[in-house]
Amino acid sequence: MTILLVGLGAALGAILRYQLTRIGNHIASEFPLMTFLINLTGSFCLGWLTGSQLSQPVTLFLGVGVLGGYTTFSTLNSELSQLWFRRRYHIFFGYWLLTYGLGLLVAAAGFYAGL
Amino acid sequence: MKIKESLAVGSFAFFGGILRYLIGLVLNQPTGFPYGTLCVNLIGAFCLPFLMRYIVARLHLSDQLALAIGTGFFGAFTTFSSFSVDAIRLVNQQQWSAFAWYVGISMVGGVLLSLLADYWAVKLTHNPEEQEVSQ
Repeated sequence: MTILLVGLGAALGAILRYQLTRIGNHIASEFPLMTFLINLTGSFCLGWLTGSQLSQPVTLFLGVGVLGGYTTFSTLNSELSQLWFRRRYHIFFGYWLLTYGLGLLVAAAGFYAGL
Repeated sequence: MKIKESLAVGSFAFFGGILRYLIGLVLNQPTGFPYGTLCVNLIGAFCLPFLMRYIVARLHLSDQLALAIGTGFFGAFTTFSSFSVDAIRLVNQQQWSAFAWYVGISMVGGVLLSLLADYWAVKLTHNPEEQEVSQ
């Protein structure tokens, strides 16, 4: 049962990420803005969810499922690798440092907002 | 809306998310080091670029299947939100060295594995002998 909650949540989260990324494709920018925003908003929400300590099924569905499926680590690094191979070093380092720096910051902000 | 593509992404993400959860159950320690999240993230960081730039061309996968496996399965298998919240938990528990190792390995290891996968994919694609074998 918990497995189904996680799976369904992940499916919803991934579809949301896919639709947002499609919208983002219309923005002509070399900076992967959509993945960036998805990972930051997801980190904030999971921080909030963790801080507010809701019941286990809700946390599993929303946290492990929806937000786990919504945010992504593989696309982030794949985009970084592409920026490196295209020699866009400024964007590479900007995207890399901003994602991790702000990601940790908003996760902490979400956590304390949820307490 | 791309309903068909969305359903393909969602159904593969269903399994990606479940696999991440199961690996986390086995490897993550509630008060310790998030080995499970680190493990799925590093595997995904290598597999996604290698899939998109080598396997798709080699096996002539359709765009829709590539999208389902890449954006759906590997996108949901890996996670950034658990990474950042796990890291904040280590800070709250004042496990400074675990925090530094976790963030360091994720930050550097993730991008190195993607670079390696891309590099290897390009090398395999442009190697004439390799193409000979495949015929």
